[in-house]
Parts: sequence; structure tokens; C-alpha cells
Amino acid sequence: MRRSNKNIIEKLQGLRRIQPDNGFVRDSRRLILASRNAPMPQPGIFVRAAQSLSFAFETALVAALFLVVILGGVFGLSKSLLLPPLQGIDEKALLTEADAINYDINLKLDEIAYFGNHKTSTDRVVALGSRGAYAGREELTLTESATDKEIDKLLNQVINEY
Amino acid sequence: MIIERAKGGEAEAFGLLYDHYLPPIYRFVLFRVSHREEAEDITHQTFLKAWEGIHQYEPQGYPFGSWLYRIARNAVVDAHRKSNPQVSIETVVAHLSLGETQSEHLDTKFEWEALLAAMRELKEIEQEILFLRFVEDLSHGEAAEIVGKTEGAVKLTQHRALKNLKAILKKNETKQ
Repeated sequence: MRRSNKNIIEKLQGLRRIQPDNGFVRDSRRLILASRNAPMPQPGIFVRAAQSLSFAFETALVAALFLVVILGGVFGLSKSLLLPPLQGIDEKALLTEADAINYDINLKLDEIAYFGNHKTSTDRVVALGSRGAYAGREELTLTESATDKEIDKLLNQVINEY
Repeated sequence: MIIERAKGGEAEAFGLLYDHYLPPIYRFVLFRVSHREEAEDITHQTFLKAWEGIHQYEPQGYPFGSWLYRIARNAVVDAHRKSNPQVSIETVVAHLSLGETQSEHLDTKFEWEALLAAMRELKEIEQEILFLRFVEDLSHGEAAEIVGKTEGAVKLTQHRALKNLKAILKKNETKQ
């Protein structure tokens, strides 16, 4: 007997007549529905909404803390870039002024050190002689004062003449 | 919706699902195990597991039945692992209403036995797909969801299964 696909499919469809035994259906149904392991009832919509909100809040909090930590580091590194420059301040003038102040302070400090270390004019002349940096001032000082003795002598002559 | 009520723990709603889906699930299991008591045990376990786990059920575009078929399929595999299946074609044929006269009865009985014997020679996946597609009239997509394959694979397997089934029937007829 030649069988076609249609013939086979029709025959297979006949298996739909298989039905379970009524006694089995009744007993199985009763046992299952009376089983102690009934599923946990689903929480109400408000409980589920509260759970969702709680989870969302926790997630948002963690994300916010994470952002604070990350942005804090980035901000610290690029603070000069992020902060806008102050209006009305000339940076060049400020730098020139700061340099001038530094120069004055250094000069004063040098003078303090110089006068502190060399109490007499001779000391100062000798010290100046040993410092090449102030060559111009050295010549001037030597011309003006030579030695204290010569000055004293010249002064005495002038006093005696008058 | 009945499924939502059952998910909420309402036994009466699950009872309705049980009434609707029990016959096809029982047929599927009986076809696989060919043993009445074993089929009843596995079917019972299938619905018990479904009732216990229904709160976890999430529809994924397929009917609730697909989920039950998957549970039943796993239960059959578990049962076969524990004990060797003893296939009895007579058990399946005994469930079918045959012809009224003795002659009709015998003719139909032989036809069924020939068809079921030929089916048994197919691979398990081919048997399952032929059953789901032509006995339960499920779509390719539903059958694919149940057996865990793609629709394309189901179509291909169905085509191959029908071809093989015809060849086996022809071979068996020639022997007789």
C-alpha cells in the first residue's frame, strides 16, 4: 500500500483520540490542588512598587556616590581648567610686580647680611673686593674712601686750615 | 486572566489550566514512554511541578502549553535516565477506539501498530516533532520552543522525519 505524506499525517491525527483515564484525572487533580507546596502568592502591586522603588533608590544612591568619587578626582586634577579666570586682573602686571618685590627683598637681605658681617669700612672694602658681582660699586667705594686713615688725615688738614 | 490568577496562587484557576492541558500532555508523555502507569506518573509530576513553579512562569510569546510540554519533556528524560524504557505499542493502540466490527477492529489495529512501530524507528527528536506538529497541531515556532531548536531546524527535521517514516513503512510492508 503506497502511503503519501497526507495519508500519514491523517493517520497521526487519529492519535488525538487518546484520552487519560477518568479516575486518574480526578485523583491527580485533587492531589495537585491540595498539595501543601502551593505557590507563594504574588505580592500586591503596592508592595511590588515599593520594592521596585527601594531597589531604584539604592541603585541611584550607589551611582551618585560613585559619580562624586569619580568627578571629585577629575575636578581636582583639572581645577585650573574648570575655574574661569578672574575678571579685571592683569596677570603680566602681577608677575612683574611680584618679580620686583622679590628683587627688592633680595637686595635688602643682601644689605642686611653685608652690614651685619662687616662692621667697619675696611671690612666692607675687603669684602667688596672679594665679590666680583659688585665691581662697579667696589671702584666707587675705593675712590671715595681709600682708607679711613687717609680720610681722617685730609679732614684734619681741612679743619686745621680753617 | 486565568494564568495570572493561577500565578497568584488561586487553585481554582490552576484547576482550569489542568483540565485544558491534561489530555495533550498525557498523550505526549504516553507516546514517549508507551506505558500507561508511567505516563500517568510523569503527567502527574509535570502538573505538580508546574503548580509549584507557576509563580516563576513568564510568557515568552508562546502559549502556556509550551511551558508544560517542556516540563513534561524533561520529566520523561529524567524517568528514562532512572530506568530503561520498555516500549509497548499495544499500550498506545489500546487507548484508541478501533473499528466496531471484528474485521474493522483488526485492520485498524494492524495499521496503528505498523505506523507506531515505524515511528519507533525514527530518532527521538523526529518522533517528537511529528507528534507536536501533526498530532497536537502546534506551529513550527511552538514546536521549536518546546524542543529547544530553531524554526528552521524543526522544518528540516519534520521533512526528514516524514521521508524516513515513509521509507520505513515501505520496508516493513515488503518484509510482510
